[in-house]
Amino acid sequence: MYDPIDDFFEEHPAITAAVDWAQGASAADWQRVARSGDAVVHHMQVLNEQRRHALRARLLSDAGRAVPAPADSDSDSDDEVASDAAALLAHIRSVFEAAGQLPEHVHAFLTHLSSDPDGVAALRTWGRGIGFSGPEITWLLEDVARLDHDPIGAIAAAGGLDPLFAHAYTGPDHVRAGFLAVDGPQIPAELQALVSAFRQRGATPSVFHLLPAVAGLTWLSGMAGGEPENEVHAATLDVMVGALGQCWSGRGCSGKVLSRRTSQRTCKTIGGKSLKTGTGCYPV
Amino acid sequence: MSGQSTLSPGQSVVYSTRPVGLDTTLFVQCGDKGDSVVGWHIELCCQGLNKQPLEAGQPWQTSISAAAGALVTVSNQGFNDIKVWTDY
Repeated sequence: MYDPIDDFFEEHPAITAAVDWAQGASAADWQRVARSGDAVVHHMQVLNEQRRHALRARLLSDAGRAVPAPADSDSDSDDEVASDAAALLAHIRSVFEAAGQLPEHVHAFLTHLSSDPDGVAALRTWGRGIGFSGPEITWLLEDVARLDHDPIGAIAAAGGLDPLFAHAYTGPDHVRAGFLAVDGPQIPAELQALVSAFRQRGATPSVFHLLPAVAGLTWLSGMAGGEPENEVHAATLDVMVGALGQCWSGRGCSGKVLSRRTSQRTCKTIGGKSLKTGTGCYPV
Repeated sequence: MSGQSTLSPGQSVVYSTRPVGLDTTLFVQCGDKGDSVVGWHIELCCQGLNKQPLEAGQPWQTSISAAAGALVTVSNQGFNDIKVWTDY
């Protein structure tokens, strides 16, 4: 008899392999991943708040209505908007630099994260935590699905991260932040190639397509010496560990993935057993 | 004004647009065979693909000012060549 949990179980090796790799890598690198992952969350929250205000202002303006000032107008100067967007890009880049060359099973883990229903639920929680609306998260996840859940691979095939970061908009127009743009009518060849490659697959290139991988790598960092502190990551981990706990209940799965080096949060109940809190979480 | 591009079926070209508050217009010229469809997509979040069928030899234009500084991908969604350009 078909049991969907068996499918989930079969995908489990991708997760354990990724954690094995993460735990074999430098703790210092993972601490950097964790710090950068936390910074991405912070800057996304700021940017999304500004972006949503800009979108609303544009709609009101188009309708001929008065546009209210931002809630915190003191921190909303053009310079600060630009620096927030630029900082976001720098921290996203830092996550990937610190994680280094990602082996195939880490790509498999990241693919699993955005394709498995529980992983999608975790990413939705994370996305809402960083200020995206439900439709925006749906758009992003559908775009990632169009890229076979491998946006990193799609970006690499279309020219790599460099043209993406080089042409990602970081100016004062919040609506365009993180999407590709150029000043003036001339489109550089590498940008033409990147956008066309994504469009052929029905996707819109942006730095936001890297966010599921940022979430996944930050999650891995929590198991490998890094300690992401932002509560948005914690919420994601709750969903992820909860989902994995269902999978592993009574299945004799390796407990390695559940061993999180954190001392700040209460561990989840796995397979009906409560895990320890305090200095770490332990497999059942 | 952008350079004119001839798009065969399935081909696309990327254009930039003027910033918010300024207009940008997309121009399309259908070939003699007709039975063509031009598609254009604003490269921002949550945008759909816009389409316009074209008759043989038909010139057509539309505002793409909504992109407001973002990129727009123009594609040939039909079965015969079309020429496309913008006023930016």
